[in-house]
Amino acid sequence: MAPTRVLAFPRQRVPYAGAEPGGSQGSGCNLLQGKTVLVVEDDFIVAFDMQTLLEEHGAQVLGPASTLDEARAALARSTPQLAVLDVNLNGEFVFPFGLELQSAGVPFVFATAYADDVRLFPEGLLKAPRLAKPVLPNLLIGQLKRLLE
Amino acid sequence: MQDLQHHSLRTQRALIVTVALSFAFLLAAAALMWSLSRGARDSDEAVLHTLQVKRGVAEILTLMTAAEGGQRGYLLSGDATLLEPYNEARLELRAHIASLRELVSDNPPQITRVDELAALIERRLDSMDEALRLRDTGSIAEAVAVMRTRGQALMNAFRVAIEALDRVESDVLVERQQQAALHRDQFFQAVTAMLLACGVLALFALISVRRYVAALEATRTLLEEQKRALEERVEVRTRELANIADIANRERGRAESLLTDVNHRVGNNLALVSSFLTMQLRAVKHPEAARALDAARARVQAIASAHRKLRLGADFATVRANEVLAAVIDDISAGLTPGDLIKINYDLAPLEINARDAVSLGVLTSELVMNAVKHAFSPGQSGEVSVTFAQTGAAVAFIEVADNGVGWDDTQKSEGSLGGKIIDMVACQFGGSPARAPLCSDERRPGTRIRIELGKLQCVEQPA
Repeated sequence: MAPTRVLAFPRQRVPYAGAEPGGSQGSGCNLLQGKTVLVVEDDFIVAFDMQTLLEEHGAQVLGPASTLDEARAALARSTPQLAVLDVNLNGEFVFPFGLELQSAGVPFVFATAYADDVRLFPEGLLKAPRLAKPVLPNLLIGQLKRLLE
Repeated sequence: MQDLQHHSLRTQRALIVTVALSFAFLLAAAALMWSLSRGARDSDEAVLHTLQVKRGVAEILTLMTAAEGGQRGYLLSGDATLLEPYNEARLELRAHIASLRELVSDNPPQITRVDELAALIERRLDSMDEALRLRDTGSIAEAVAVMRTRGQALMNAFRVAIEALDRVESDVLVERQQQAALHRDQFFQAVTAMLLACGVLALFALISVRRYVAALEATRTLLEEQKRALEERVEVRTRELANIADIANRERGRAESLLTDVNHRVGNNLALVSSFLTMQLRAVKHPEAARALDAARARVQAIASAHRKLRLGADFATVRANEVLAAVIDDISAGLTPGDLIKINYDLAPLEINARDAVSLGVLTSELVMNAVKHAFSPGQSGEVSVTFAQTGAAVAFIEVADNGVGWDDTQKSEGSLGGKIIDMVACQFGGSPARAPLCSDERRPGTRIRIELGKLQCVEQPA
């Protein structure tokens, strides 16, 4: 181990200090105020984390749905303004539902560990943004915000 | 194949011999026919010649008989007109004898006979002349006596001579006709033999040609069979190879999908870890604890970013450092608070590194960049962080992170900084230690340049 540390940390500015770190509660914490977001995610912990994050930003969460059937049922009950989709739901691909959302005019973002496997995605869904898991909170919020514009 | 060639060669040789024999035989037959026909013609000519001799003999006899008749008539009647045949015969006889002598010039005994005949004729003519003279002088009885005595005797001798001559010629004629008949027989036999031989040769030629054609056909059939067999073997082999390639492709595809699946699970598990940290972060009230959890989440993020790129190496054992580091840095940039004024640039060499080093290198880069982002700038200050990853001339890779911030303060050591420790440890793992220098001489914002030589990092440069 080196005897002396060469790094110094000036304390004038600590960007993440004072705020909820990771940008999960930034200055515009109500970016998604009043929006309904459908979450399709088969991992309950990740889904719960995502739901909490979205609700912190003022959104109302539909689901989370952990299967295609649940997702379809949720869509049948009410049409969301946004959606976050995991790709692999216990071995079942979410793509048919993605196409249904597309024809229903609901913008959505993929949050998946398959983000780099472009070959896996059907041609019609290549335009939808793909976020790699683990998804950083402000990255997800920023992406959803962009979909609303 | 060799047998067949041998057989075909033999057949061909037999064919050539047969054809040559045929031509030789035809030539010989033509020569024989020519010679036989010449012999036959000679025989015919000889027969003709003999007939001419016999006709000459007959004419002389006729002339002599006519002369004898005329003379006798005149002697008895005294009618001068009766002497005309005598005079004509007298005139022509010598010419006829000369021509007869000419005709028998090839036969010496006949020449002698002709000469004797000529002498007899002369004497007979002389005796006739004498009898006529006696008649003219008035002594008819004397003349008749001459005619009866000497004339009769001479005439008999003449007839004997003529007969002898004619008999000899008749004998010759019989002999020559036999000869001619023999020639004709020979000719006929030769023609028959030749026809037979030609027939036999034609038969041989036919057999040879048939054999030759059959051999050709057999060769063709055999070649076709071999060709078909070869094509079958090629097809079977091609199918086998295609199967092998199919299996290899399937296996590769299976391995790839397994790897994709494993990577996916790792990604999901890291997402789970990240979610736990986020939930804990929400639960704690103490800012120091929150900062620590946030830093931990950022480290998990760095590992996940680096890991995401591991699958992309062609042989699954190596990865491109520039892809891994770009993913790490891009994710840090994306995670910055919106509206942040800090910009992160990078310049990464496309070096191929071992997959097992990739995550450590990603963590090191993440720590260096996060350190610069967190500590190099005053609040509200805009700034730039530049990351360089490249090889030195000695083929040693290095990583350099530079910022144009406020610089560092040796006196203000961050005793509890985990980031610093991590940087030291990972740098040590790669056989280096951080070296730090100001970026420029501006006292207010000298900036910081941290450079770490990675002596133990194995890497190979790849074309971009």
